[in-house]
Amino acid sequence: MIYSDFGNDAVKSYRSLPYETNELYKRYNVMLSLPDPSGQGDSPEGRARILEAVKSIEEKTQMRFDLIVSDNFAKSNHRSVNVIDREHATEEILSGKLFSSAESKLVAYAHAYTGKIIGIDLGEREEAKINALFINDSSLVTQTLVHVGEEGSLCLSEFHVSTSHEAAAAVPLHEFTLSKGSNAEFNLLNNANTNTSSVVLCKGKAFGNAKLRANFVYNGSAATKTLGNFDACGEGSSIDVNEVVYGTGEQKFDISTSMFNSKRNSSVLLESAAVLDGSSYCAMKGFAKVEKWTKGARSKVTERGILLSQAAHIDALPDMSIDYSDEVSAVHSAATAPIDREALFYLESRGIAETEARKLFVSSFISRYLARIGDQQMRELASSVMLSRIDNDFFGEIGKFTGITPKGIWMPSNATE
Amino acid sequence: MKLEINDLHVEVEGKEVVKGVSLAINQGELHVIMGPNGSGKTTLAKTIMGHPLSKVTGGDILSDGASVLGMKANERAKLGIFLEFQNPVEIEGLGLLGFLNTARGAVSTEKFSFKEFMGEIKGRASSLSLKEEIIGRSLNHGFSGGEKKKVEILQMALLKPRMAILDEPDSGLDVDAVKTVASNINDLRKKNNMGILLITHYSRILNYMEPQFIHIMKDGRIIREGGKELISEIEEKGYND
Repeated sequence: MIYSDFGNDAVKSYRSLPYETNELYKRYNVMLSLPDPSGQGDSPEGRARILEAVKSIEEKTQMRFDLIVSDNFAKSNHRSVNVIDREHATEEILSGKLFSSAESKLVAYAHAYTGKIIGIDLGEREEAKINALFINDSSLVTQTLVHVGEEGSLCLSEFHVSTSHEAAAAVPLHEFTLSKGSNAEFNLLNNANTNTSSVVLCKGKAFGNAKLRANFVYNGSAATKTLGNFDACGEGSSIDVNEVVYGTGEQKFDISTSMFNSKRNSSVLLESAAVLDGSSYCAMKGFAKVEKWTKGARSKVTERGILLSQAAHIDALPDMSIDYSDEVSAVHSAATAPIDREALFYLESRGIAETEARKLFVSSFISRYLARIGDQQMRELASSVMLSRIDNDFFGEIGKFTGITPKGIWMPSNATE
Repeated sequence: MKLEINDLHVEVEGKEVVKGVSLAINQGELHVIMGPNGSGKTTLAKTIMGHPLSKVTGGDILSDGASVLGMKANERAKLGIFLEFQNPVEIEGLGLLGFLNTARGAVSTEKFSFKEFMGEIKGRASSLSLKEEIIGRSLNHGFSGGEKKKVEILQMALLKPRMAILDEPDSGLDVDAVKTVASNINDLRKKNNMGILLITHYSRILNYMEPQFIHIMKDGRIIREGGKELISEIEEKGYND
């Protein structure tokens, strides 16, 4: 594509919002066909099988899960979590939704086929840490609606896996509403097998001085498509979104995230990173919009990629729309390159063989992003899964648990914010 | 260990940079190469270590009589060759402590406890006036120029090479740091009976060291050789006379 074509597309794009349906984004698009969900049903046998699988995963990950979600089965003992069958959802629940079906066909799909609605509601000054396990063995369409009351604090960490090698599709939708002065960390690690497709939909709103940090680690699934929409809509609010992709074989990722500064002194940060091998593909479509009358707003979009093979491909499309300029800071950047030859030589000069040096380099790159996961358990699990994956590139399989040892194997990087 | 460089010719991206250099360094000896910018000193250093972009078009590099030209950088490191980089690379996310541990394990079969290893790191860091907290940071990431140079010496101390190629260990250092670095190099040379090929532009660091052989390199060739007396001559007249 020549530059002028690109420019014309960009101009058209801005004129044809909503953003994710514009011409430019259609050009860099991973197509998915989602089946009509046909869950296994909540039979006693199915439930027993899932609980057995959960037990095994808990042992291997050394995590206890407060919320289990699998196809048509969901269970939680946590006092802040309420699992509702979609048909029993009240108007009050449904009317409070942030996502609208009109925004995207994917959202419409999620609204149409949701089996379970998971409500997480924290009252004023309430604190909670919730670990969730999502098992995607056939079809998993869920909506997780999170509300954090004023000055409340939530850490929600989700591990998405599959326990079989069947083809499956998962469409987890999340919505976060953070009241004044509250804070929330949301971590999602996808390690489902490569016969699965994942559509991750997430929308968040942070009101006055609220802080939302979201970390997405995309490791598994043949195709992953995301739609993120985060609005720092309160004065002094901040939203940090961190996305990490590791792809091999023919895995495809379409990562689309929009960030908005809607009020004064708000701050948004979107950092996306991808490491690709084989003939995998990733489109990183980060967008930030600084709305009018947002004095003191700070906005940053960065996209980084490492290509481990010639056939791997990254399209990095950082984009911004800045509608106000009074004391506003707005930065975007993108860089994609093969592994730095000088860095490899440096490591090899210290006695480290090339294969090991490449692994060290890649794991170092990824750990920079994983270090931002505040929840230690989740950080260790994510690090362990990714490290195992980097090793397994040479002799293993995605989505397997072999070699995962969550405690103490990861050399923590300079874990500063 | 004896390192011999025989009539070495090196090309980088099609351009001949090293044009017939010969040197012989025995274990325990301190050789210095001085020369102006662009004379091929760094290319020579990287070629000894096996840089993939340095294409040897003639001559040989021998370690105890055996050619190392077919060996990769990590294999040369295992032989006991160490390169201190003029511009050490930064790798964010790679913890310095983990890296040191990995590198030490790669070049040495010597058994050591973690406590001993940490003791060694802390002792050498203190001797280099490095803050202990540096070992918790990413490799060279955000380090000052002085810290990077000192961490190179810290690595040399832990990897215990028999032959070290030091590419401008003094560049960018203040007076006190030059003295500290020189003193640590002297200490390690003595302790490990290490051979050293030190590359520098300036005589400053040599005020604190006792080099036995001085080689002047210009335009890819060694143009003069001698003892310590050459240093004052260079100081006085520069490289052009």
